[in-house]
Amino acid sequence: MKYNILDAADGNVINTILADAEFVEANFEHYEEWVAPTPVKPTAEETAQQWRDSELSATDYIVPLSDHPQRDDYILYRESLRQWPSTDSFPATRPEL
Amino acid sequence: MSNFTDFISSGGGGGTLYTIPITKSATWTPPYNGTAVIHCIGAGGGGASDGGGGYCSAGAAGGYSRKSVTLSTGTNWTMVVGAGGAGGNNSGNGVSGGNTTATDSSSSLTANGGAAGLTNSVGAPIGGSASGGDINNTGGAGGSNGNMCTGGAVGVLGTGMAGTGAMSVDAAAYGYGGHSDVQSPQFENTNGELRGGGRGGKTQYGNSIPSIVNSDGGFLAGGGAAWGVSDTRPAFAGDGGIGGGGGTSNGAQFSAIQIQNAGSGGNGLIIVMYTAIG
Repeated sequence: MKYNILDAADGNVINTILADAEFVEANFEHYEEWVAPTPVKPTAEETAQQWRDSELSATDYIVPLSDHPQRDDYILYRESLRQWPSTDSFPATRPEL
Repeated sequence: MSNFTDFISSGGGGGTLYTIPITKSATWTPPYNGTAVIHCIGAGGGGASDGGGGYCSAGAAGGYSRKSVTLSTGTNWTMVVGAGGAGGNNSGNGVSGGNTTATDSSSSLTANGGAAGLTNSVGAPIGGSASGGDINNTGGAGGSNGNMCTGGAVGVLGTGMAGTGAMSVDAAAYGYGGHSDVQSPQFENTNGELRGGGRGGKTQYGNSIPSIVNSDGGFLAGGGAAWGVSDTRPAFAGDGGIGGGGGTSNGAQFSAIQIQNAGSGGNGLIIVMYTAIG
């Protein structure tokens, strides 16, 4: 187990040690159990989903622009983005414009 | 290899005299009367990460203190073992290593933990200091002034070897974590001298997936850095060995959530090496 040893005056962490609870209780008055930072390890699916959402948002403005020169391409691209999560290529191969 | 048990199981642990590794804080009573050398190793600091290719620094190594003592079965020592600092994730700073101390009524050895690596920083994190021993060495500084930086090493013979710093565009400059100054294939007790240190972990570019590449530092050595090139090639940097600093993780900003896990610092350790029993 890891414990933070705290300063009695201000509660700041003054050391972090490896110990059993019994040792810490016997030797330190102010302490707390160390808590690991929340891991930030998104899955490949989560990463892909976020990228897809950002791509859809970034191309929203084109949909109402009937005279945009690449509108048809973007419409197809956006449809590919929507269908992508239900295909075998998700999340490894991203749709391309 | 970031803990002493791994080291022993990998072939270390030999020697001709009774040796006691203390990997966790405890009130310790010597099992025999005799003379011994006590080695205290502070914990290494964790490396920093930066998701956008910016500067970040690696963790520094813990300090080292050793002292020749006379041990008695009727005495108690308070042994406090510092914990290795966690590495920063996704543009986060590392955490400093914990301090290791060995204390009885007439001796008080301290090996402080190494400083943490910081993101958006070009300064070198300083190694842990040491006091109270016959020999007191400062740990190697964390690598800095780059975006691929390696952890420092514990110094047994003198100040520990510092980690390296390089930019991702300069492949020729990619370095290793600081190497131990007491490298040898076997951990052994030769008249109380500490040997068996390892080499620093190798910096990895692009393929630093743990199952493929191990960039961890050896015993007393620093971890290597990692650079990720895509969401599917995350940057998992190397952890420090016992007392060593962790490497940095970085990468091109492929997406907002590209994975960057800097290396953790190695835990501290106390080793009691008997030189004579009775």
